[in-house]
Amino acid sequence: MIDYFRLCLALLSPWLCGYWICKVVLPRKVSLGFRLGAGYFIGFGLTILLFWSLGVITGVLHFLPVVAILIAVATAAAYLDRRYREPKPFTQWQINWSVVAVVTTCALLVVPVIVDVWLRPLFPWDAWYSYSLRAKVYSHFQELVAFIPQREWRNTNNPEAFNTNIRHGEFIALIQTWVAVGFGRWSESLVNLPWPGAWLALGLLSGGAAREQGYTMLPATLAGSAIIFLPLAGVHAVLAGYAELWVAGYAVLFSGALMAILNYQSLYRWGFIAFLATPGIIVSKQYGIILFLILLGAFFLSLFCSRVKYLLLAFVLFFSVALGWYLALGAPFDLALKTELTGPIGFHNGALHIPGIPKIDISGGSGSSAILVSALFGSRNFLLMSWLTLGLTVLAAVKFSASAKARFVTYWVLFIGFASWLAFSFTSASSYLDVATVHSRFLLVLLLIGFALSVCGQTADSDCSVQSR
Amino acid sequence: MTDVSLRQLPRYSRTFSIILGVASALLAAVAVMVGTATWIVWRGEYPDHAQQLSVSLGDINARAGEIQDVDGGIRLVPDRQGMVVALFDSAPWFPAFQFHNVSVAIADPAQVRASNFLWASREAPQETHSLPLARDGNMLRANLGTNPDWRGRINGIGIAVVTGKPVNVRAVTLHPPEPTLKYLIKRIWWEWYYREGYHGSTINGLRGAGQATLLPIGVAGGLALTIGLVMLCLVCRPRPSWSSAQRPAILAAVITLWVLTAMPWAREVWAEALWAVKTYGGKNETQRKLQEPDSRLYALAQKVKDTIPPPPQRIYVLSMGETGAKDFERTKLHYYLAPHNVLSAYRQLRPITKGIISAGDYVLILDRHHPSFKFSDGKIKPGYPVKMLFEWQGARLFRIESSADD
Repeated sequence: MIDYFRLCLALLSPWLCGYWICKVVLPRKVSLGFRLGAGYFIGFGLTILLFWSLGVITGVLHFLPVVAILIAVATAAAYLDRRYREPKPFTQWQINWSVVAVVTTCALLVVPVIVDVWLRPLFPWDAWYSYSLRAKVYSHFQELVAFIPQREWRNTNNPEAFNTNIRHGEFIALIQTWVAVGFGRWSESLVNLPWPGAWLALGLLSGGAAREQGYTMLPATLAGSAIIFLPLAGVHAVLAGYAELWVAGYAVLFSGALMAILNYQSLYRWGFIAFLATPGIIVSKQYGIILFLILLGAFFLSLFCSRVKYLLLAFVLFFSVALGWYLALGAPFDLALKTELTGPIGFHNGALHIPGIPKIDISGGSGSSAILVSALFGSRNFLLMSWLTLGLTVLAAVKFSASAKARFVTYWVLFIGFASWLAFSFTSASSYLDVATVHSRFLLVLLLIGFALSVCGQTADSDCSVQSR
Repeated sequence: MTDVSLRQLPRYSRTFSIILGVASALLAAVAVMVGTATWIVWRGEYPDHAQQLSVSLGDINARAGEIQDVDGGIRLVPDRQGMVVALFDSAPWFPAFQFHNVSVAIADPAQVRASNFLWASREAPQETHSLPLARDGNMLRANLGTNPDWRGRINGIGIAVVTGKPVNVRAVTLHPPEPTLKYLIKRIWWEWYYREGYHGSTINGLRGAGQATLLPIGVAGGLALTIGLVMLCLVCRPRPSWSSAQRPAILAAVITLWVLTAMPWAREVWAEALWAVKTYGGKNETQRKLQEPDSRLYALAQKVKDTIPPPPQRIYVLSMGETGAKDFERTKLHYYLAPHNVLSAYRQLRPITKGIISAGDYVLILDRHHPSFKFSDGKIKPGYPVKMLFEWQGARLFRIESSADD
């Protein structure tokens, strides 16, 4: 029984700590759903940071000291919240039966997922080979054992180092290690329990972010339930062990905080939440840094572009979109200046010619665009969410000049679309394009972020969360 | 002319608005389904991706006789009994309802005395069914649609040929039935609600009913959403924007289509959860692992762990074959043997730098019959003195007695 008690501690203490941090930091009126969703990701981020730090400093992976710290932080936050903040005015609870119906429908999907994860042993390939292999070794020895590449292992006589050819970061492996150390032994199924939690927290976060932007309970709950009912997100919750739900969770938290700042809400409080979310985006997957930079760039541009003349801005936007489509279609016609001295300068015969550097073949881009569009709009993975996100993004783009949030959404779509096309056309990621190993999972992360952003970007830039209550 | 849109209607218009939204969504979904089926019937042929399934002749397993690669196909060389059985390992799985006919393009069909088409399904993996192929000019054909065993998800296909001389096969192709409205509508519905189950590549994406799906559910949902919203615009005539009485119609339409398209996924989740309860419920960790398709590897790893001292021991897991099933075996064993210190590699120990391998290390060889892993005179290549600890289901475990090699 004690091992299951420790398992509960391993799963709940991070959430408790994260929830109370959000409760004391965020404004009073922030919805419970947002606090729970944000608290999950912040709590686990803090937990893994403590777990790893103590492991590095002391050489041993500790469980109970980390739990004690988490509970102490939660207690301190709860005390500060009660002692120094004004109590929330009492409001009569009214049952919204539509919301109850939606939540019940979600529960009908959540329950079988949790049962499945509880029973089913670790399943997907990358999960057991890249992350769980390390987690298993860490949890057995209760220390951060060195892992080196196989080639190096074959050439050096380092009897204590283990080997792996996978270069993913430690964050995901440490989540499973945390659960295994808490439980007291490695379990093929129980170490996956944080994944349905991340999936649920993502739904709560998306719904809560919509609520913060002024949506009433029912539409906000529907926005959250759309995440729960997204097939590929559910797959990642059931066949647990991959990083995508965590990347998406931290990115949605980060962008939700930025959206709140654009809504004229407290810069310091929401800025702190964005700060807490940042390490999670960067360490959970290699391309997390790109997502972070694009979100930050889109945020800053949306702040300052209100000063640019609307006509100039519209021209820049039109030119960018037109160029993007031209490149996406593989430069179907020439756009080049031809001189006898230098040859073509510009786009000629499906390649970009710049004097002095080797030509860059653009024609490969059309293939990648077709595959990405087909995966996004035609597959069973995303159902209507791609279409809804596209429609909501277009609606946001229409309000470009009037709303910083609408600009944020538009810039995000433009930049990430262009960056993805570049990555899949000109980098080693292109070799994975046909196999769906890379593109479907990457599109899942983009869609989860894009959907939350496009929903939140529909309302006007004002203190919507006050007006809606 | 008075605007008779929903704006002027009294309070109950919200309910009417919701009903309108649901109705338009359902009508749009039916329109998309029937419209697609009608278009295919009018054309008289299926879309390119669903017209036929050409089986790749690249990865073939010969259960009798021999298979040779030749220009433009394969050559079936019979054994002494005149029999050749070829199984197409790289053929993708597909639901039986998508293809009802098979044709085998053969160079000299007069040589063939008898031939059968073979298949196995996910629902009955231990059974192999067969149907005689009839000669039709230069083709051998069979109508599978009327066979009661042609059902479920077809996981494996092959051909068996009785012939006195080698015959060249140019192509093996599966064809859908003649497109009729009734069949197409039924097929679109079955494909939307097709239960694919969780498999090795599910984490990368759901395949639904496979590559020959007529109308992917994502495309159908998007089209229905667009048509539904257009229908609502025509009925409600929002001027200049949607009124508070009209907006529930949009939400209702979106929710209806979402529910319709998400139902197959919800069904999949419940079916798999119930399967997990039935397969794993009440069992401990080891018993659950022994239910898995790779239970042999798990059992082998447990046997190794029971034989050698506690971790960390260095173990080299070797087999031939750089990719595919062999790579899966090695890497899965690497995981199952953890927290031992494992190097999983193909080929021999020789590529490992001299001086790394020490006495007391272990070698687990998965291909004991391969000449590269020959064990003789108490040594394995490239000449390491070893002691064999056990041999089990084609795998051998050795302990290296000395680090000296040739």
